[in-house]
Amino acid sequence: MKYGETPQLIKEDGTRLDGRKPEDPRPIHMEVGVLENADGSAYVSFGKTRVLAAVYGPREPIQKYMVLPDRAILRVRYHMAPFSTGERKSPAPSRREIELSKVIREALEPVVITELYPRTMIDLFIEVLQADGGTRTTGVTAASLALADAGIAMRDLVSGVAIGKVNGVLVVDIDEVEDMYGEADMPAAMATKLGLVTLLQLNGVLTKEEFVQAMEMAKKTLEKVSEMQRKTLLEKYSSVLQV
Amino acid sequence: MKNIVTPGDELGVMEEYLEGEGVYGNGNGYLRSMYTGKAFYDMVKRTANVIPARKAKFPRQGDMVIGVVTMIKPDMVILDIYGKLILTGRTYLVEEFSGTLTGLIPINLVAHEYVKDLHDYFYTGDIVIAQVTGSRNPFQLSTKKPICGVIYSLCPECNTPLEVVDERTMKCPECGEKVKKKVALIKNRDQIYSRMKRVLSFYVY
Repeated sequence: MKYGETPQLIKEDGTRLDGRKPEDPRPIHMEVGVLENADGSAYVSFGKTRVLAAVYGPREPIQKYMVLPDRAILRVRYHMAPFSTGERKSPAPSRREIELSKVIREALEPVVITELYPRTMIDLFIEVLQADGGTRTTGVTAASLALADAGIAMRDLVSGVAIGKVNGVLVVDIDEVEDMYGEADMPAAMATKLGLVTLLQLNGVLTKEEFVQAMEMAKKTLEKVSEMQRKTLLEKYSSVLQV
Repeated sequence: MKNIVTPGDELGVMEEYLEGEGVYGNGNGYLRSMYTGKAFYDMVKRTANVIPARKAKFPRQGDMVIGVVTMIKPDMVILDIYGKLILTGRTYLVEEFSGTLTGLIPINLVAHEYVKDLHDYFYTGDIVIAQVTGSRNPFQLSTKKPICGVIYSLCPECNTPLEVVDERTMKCPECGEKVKKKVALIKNRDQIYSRMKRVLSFYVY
């Protein structure tokens, strides 16, 4: 491979560099209630992408002028740990992190029933422990689990996955290398039971047909992810619910 | 239909049941759960309910709460609410909120009699039990009930914890100072505030 040349990301037999088929996500692991002092917390990993989310609240807002008279405000902080990337990342919030905080907040606002907690604030902290592509979608998945773990009223759980296009093939759940050398990256988050798309971004170029196909792939994957989220919640609370 | 539900799971359709506790109708005609919990169908009221395994701690109308007086204005008392007091038979359960919330006791809800000066009822730093009468963040509280009132207070002269004499007076065991208070007529007052770890860390030393 010469400098500036795109590497071969899809092998001869149609599999990807890590041996996955185009429609396979990475191995997913989920846990809830991992932090003792948070009201709700979750740890989610998609392959080597590991994210920790914590929820505090509803509680007294620290800036009273921000308060909304009829509902709670949701504050989200997406942050990448300095050790999460290949090169050390400055711990100060970068432009990208501030933007992703906003995007994740807007992905969760439609599902959190904030009207039940007027004039309060719900704090959500998303910490990326290891970044290997798809951190925002993993963050959304972890955040919605943490909110459900905190017992905050929600319309549905949100789950996210990134669809990419590498070497002309649409692939599910792209990692760092595929993101870097691929032709397109489309993170999507959905509330699958309600059929709402709460996050949709697109980097790169997709044709109309490819976009429709990519959304179809995302929906199919997210239904599985959502099912896993529900299983994880039920596992933790099964002992409470049996009594 | 599933017995154990997670947020977003269907409990039925709107023609079958009314929205009960922890259930919302989403406009497509379905009733869905808000929490992780157990589905419960009330066949008398025809409602679908969810009994949550865990619910965010938040005061509701009628709840008993524990707070600390932060400010006394001419016509109201301002409290920091730390948690909920659940009275189950003879025992108490204390449930702390995440952080504090603000509460207000307007002068007309302090006691049944005419209140001339609020300083005859509370003082800054008192730990108070009150009932929630409002439903949004500066929560309106009432201490009209006999079990509502001060459960812990320090002597204004020498900072020793006061002892209860009757429902309107507390006395300092060190200097004999008598202080007018609205005292909560409830057993084991010290047990209640000692369970509020954060209240304790601020005021009891």
